[in-house]
Amino acid sequence: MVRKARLLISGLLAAAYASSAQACSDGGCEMSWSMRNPHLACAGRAVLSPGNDSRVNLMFLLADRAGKGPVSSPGADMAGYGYGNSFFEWSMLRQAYTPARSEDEEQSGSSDGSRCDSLAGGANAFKGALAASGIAAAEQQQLLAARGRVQLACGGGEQALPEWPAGLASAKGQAFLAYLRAAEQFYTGEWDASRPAFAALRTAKEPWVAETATYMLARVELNAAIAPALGEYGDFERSKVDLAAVTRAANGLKAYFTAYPSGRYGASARGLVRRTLWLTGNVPLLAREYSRMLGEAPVGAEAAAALIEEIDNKLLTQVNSADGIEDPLLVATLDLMAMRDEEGEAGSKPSSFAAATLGAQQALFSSRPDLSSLLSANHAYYVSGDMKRVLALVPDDARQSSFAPVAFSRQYLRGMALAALGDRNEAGFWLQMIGGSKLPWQRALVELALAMNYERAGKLGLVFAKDSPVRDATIRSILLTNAAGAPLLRQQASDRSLGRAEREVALHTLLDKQLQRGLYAAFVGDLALLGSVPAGPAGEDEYTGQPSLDQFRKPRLSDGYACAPLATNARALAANPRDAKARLCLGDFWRLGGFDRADEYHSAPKADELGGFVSAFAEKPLSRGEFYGEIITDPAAAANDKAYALYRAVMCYAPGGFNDCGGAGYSPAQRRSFYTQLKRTYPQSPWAQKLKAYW
Amino acid sequence: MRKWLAQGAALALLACAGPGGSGKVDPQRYDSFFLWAGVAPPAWLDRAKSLYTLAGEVRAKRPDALVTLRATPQRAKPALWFVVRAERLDWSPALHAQVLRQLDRWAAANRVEGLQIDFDTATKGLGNYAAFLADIRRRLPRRYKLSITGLMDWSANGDPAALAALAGTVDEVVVQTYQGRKTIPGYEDYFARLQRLPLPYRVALVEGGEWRAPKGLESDPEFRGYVVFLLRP
Repeated sequence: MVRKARLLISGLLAAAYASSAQACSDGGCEMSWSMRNPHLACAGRAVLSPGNDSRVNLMFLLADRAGKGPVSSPGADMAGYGYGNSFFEWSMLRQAYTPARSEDEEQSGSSDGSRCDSLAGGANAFKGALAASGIAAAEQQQLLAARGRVQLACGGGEQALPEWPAGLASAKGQAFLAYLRAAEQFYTGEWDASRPAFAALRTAKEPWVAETATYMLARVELNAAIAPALGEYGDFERSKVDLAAVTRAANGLKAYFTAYPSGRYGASARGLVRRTLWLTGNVPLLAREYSRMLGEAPVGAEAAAALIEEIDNKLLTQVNSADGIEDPLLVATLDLMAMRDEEGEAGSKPSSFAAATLGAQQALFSSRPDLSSLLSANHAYYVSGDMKRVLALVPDDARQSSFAPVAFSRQYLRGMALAALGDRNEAGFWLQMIGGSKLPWQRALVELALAMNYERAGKLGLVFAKDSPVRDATIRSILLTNAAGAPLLRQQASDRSLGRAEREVALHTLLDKQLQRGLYAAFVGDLALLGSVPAGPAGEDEYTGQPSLDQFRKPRLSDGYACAPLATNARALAANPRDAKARLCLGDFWRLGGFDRADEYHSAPKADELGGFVSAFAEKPLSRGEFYGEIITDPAAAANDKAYALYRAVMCYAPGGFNDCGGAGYSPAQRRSFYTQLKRTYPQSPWAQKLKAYW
Repeated sequence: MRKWLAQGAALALLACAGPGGSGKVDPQRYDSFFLWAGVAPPAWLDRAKSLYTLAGEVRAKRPDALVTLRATPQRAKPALWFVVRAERLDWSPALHAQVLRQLDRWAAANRVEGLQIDFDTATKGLGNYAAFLADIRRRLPRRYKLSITGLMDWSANGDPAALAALAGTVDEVVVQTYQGRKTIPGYEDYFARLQRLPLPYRVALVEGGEWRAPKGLESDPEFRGYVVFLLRP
């Protein structure tokens, strides 16, 4: 369904060498309320499937293997994006799988993404090294001040730098000073100058200086490698990376690990190794390193989520296939990505990912037959469309006390295949599965499947029966808004045991559709229900986005043309649907109540989506645009009514020339002739006097 | 998942794609652009007049830090806007300082017009946004202009009082006409309502998107021209 037009381009395209790809995190996401998930969309699901964000699938796979669930339950859909309990974004899943950040963590980690960051962060380490060196206190002070100079230099700018300290007596002090001089050259980008300086310091007697210089030498090479690839706009052009320098960096890191197997820069240096692998496009080694890290990743902690983001950025989005990768979780994630529908000018078609590729991967999955058959079943469902094969690959195991992600995905896919085959036991399957669907976002997805089954079987009443397992408010609301007929809407609106929100949706939909489709007598009868639904807190609809019953409770009826109360007016229409005055007043009610542009916020679900199967109201919707045209040509209409109809018909197009009134619309020539007719035939009418132009 | 994003985006948007036709936006016929992260700058970009360059993001989980998305540009020929994409508005003092520090770093090496905030506010939230922007304006040295991106429905539904408050605070708003890679259908309709926006504005188009200038737009005294969002080729 299309919701309010929002910007999603920034999220979709934001992906750079320094960032993780965050799809749609600023909203504006469109999700399809159906079981299938063949295209990458920002809204993910609890089912491992091609359309999920790769980070989502990898997180589920990792948590599944670790046997761990989320550390916190996901919050409500705060952003109001309409995800209900069925959909989520990576950021929401991430949050559920990471502990809340502490105050300290909130304060730390501010990064400008520049070399200078590590300089600021290393201040205490430097101080500690000086203290441990046994250098005289006065020299320590001089060296600390000299480090301040390096920081100043790193910041750039025009200011003059203080002099280097002179007359350091101790050899150790001079080693530290030489280190600082080399560091300044590094931080100001003078690679060629800092390279020999650090190289010389690798054999310094002072252990801290020797180790740091060894590590820094590799950093120099890595920065030198990347420098030519940074463009004038601060962009990164990978093809311009100096590969010889990358190789020197890799060798430097190897030397560091040889000399300092458990050195103080070990973690950072391992990160730099990954960077060299990424820069040289060494996919197999990079994947092996990520595989090792995934094996140690603490699911439920920040580090695991951050690792997944790095893997997504540096590996999953950089390769076209899983070739050369052996880790089953990484291969599974890549295979699912490869099964996404292919997008072309003529629309989408199933992926061309070959089943043989899955066959060739069998050995990698020897310990994970469940995962292997899940991938094959996804292929059967999304690529070859062989639903019977899905059933053969995934035997029925719907009754479980709880589902880990992979088990849930397998059974859900089986249910989808049953649905596609029109299996008469499909609903029963979902009813069995729902009991064990306990992890976040699982249950609502099963409810969605069940609701679609009931809707398509013409049993919508089951969704709204007293003991219905379909409890999700968003799913129920979509069905009420789009699929429910008048009797069901009336029943839900009247049911005092239901929550107010659902009764409001039902009654609003009922009243709106009855008026819109000319069911005036029924409308008048149902207006009485307004009294039985309690009013919500003032302004609530501002936040929920639900249309408010206030549109009917406190209708705006007139801004110039006199109108009877809403019920009286509807009674007149019930007696004579062509009553000109009453139709003009209904038009004003729609215009003043904000009904005109309602479809900007809500459009009908597609036929294969929840609520899109049949339209419960057979009557054609009316529009005030058509009312005006008919009144203009109605010989029985009173002069003032005709004048007002002409005025309104022209005003439909103010101020931009776009039709606000619905219906087929009127050509510019017709609008001009309405204008002329009003001015010539009814010159004394207040409407003729009020109208200054046509559009 | 970046590699597949373009496909996914296009597909997710099929539902809202209008009928094909003429009037595709050719960037080389314009002089101002959005350069987002991950989009390689084309060679002809040097001829651009101004460039809205995504510098970093404030993410929902990190109110304390700007996540930098590109290195500091060096001697760029066009005038640059330092664009911050914000998912939240409760910036810490350290974050404010970081943004200003980086802005200065950019200005030391380039011609910088100012700061642009790209925040996807719910229309209802414009009141808060105005307060946030007023705070930014107070902190921002006068040599920098302040720009914001806007969504088309602001002008359709924005609270006039809140918009008026923005007019006193920001130097311009760049109104977006696209969603994903496509121009939003019915954009003409929105522009009829844009006349309510009481401040200078530019109109952002998406490379290759559909565009026919609605009547009256280009002669509107508040209209300051177009900005084309460049896509990854």
